[in-house]
Amino acid sequence: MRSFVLALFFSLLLSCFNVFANDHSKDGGTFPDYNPEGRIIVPVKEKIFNFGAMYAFQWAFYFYSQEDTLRKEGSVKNWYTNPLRPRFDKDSFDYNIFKHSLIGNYYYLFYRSRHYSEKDAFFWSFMSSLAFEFTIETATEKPSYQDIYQTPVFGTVVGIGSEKASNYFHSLNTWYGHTLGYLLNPMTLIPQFAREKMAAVPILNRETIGAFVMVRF
Amino acid sequence: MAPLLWCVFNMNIYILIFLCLNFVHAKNHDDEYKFRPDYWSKGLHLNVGGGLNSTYYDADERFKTVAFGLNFKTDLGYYFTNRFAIEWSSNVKFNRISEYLVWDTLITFGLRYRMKEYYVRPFLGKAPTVVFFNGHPPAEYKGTKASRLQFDGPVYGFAVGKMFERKDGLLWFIETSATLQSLQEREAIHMDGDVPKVISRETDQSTLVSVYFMIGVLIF
Repeated sequence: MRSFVLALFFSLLLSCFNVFANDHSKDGGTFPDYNPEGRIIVPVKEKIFNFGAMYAFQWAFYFYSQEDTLRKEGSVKNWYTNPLRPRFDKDSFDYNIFKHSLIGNYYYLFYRSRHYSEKDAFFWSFMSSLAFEFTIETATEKPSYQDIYQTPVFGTVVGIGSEKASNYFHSLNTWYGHTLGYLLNPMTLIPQFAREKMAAVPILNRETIGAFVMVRF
Repeated sequence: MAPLLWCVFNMNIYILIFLCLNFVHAKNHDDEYKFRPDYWSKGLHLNVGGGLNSTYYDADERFKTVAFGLNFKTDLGYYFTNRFAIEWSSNVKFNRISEYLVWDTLITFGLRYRMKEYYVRPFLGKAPTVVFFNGHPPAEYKGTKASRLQFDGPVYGFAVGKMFERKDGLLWFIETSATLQSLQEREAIHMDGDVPKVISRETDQSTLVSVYFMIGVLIF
């Protein structure tokens, strides 16, 4: 049931991108030439929508992945008192370096897929990361200096590499090339850029992580 | 009522940070011209590099040793003029001392000043240092649940580097730096599921001196 609700949420969210999609043919075109050259000015309406979509995703992901921690450690009091008490966290490097870089990578790739320039994508990744640290994760823990810095900065470095590698693999135009391309940059599955009218939404379970893949005929 | 006011106050802090960063970001668009090793462009720039480090550990007079390892760093800087920038940096380094893995994260603020293609960077900040026991806890932690120690203290450093430009326009740099870490607090950490718990906290008087040799690129 929870998987279904989450999938429905993502489906609605992704379908909204088509509503807000502009003609980007001048700055990169649609998927087969997926190469989102950044626009100098992204309209404010789109900035708000993109940031809001990412923020909604962050809440959904947090509720879904941290259910046990929320039950044990979470409280409304934490949520409103923790933002003023940032500190160096005690996590191990598998969280602080690898997992946070991976999340930051998705922030960056998401904004790139919305035709932000590299610097703009980095800036908005930073804002999304701050929003998570100061207004979401505070329900269970204080904001972490390492996460505030490393999530968007390391994520951007990984994201730049992921995007280039994904574009290269897609350009091979083979099934394994496309598979690797989608794995490295799942944002190429967002309907606006999707190849052959295909899209996917993530499935997150404690036991499994996967995706619904949809093909439109 | 009080929680609601507190919540609004905290949200305002976030909105203030948001607006300040947006202002810096907006200014960034004003000054786009090509970055060169001998003429920096204004605005936000990110340097990424990696390399080797050698660290001398003087740990509370219990042991003194030298270790070698890998490290990588990122310097997120706002370049005010073609010579001067302020930076927020992270330098992550790993060393192995016998069976222990030592992981440092140096989060620092610094200045960057250019002289021709060369630059200097004084910086200071804080550096959590984590020592993983890897199943071999020291005698004083045997019988406890602790799986690692986390040290905390200030870090001071200085770096000298040189930037180059390849024919295809890629900007890269070499850099050597030195840091001094003063570890002042020691906490034993136990993992309760995914949540780290501090099970003891003591003062510490260890010192780490490191030298680094790094190579990297300007990402943007």
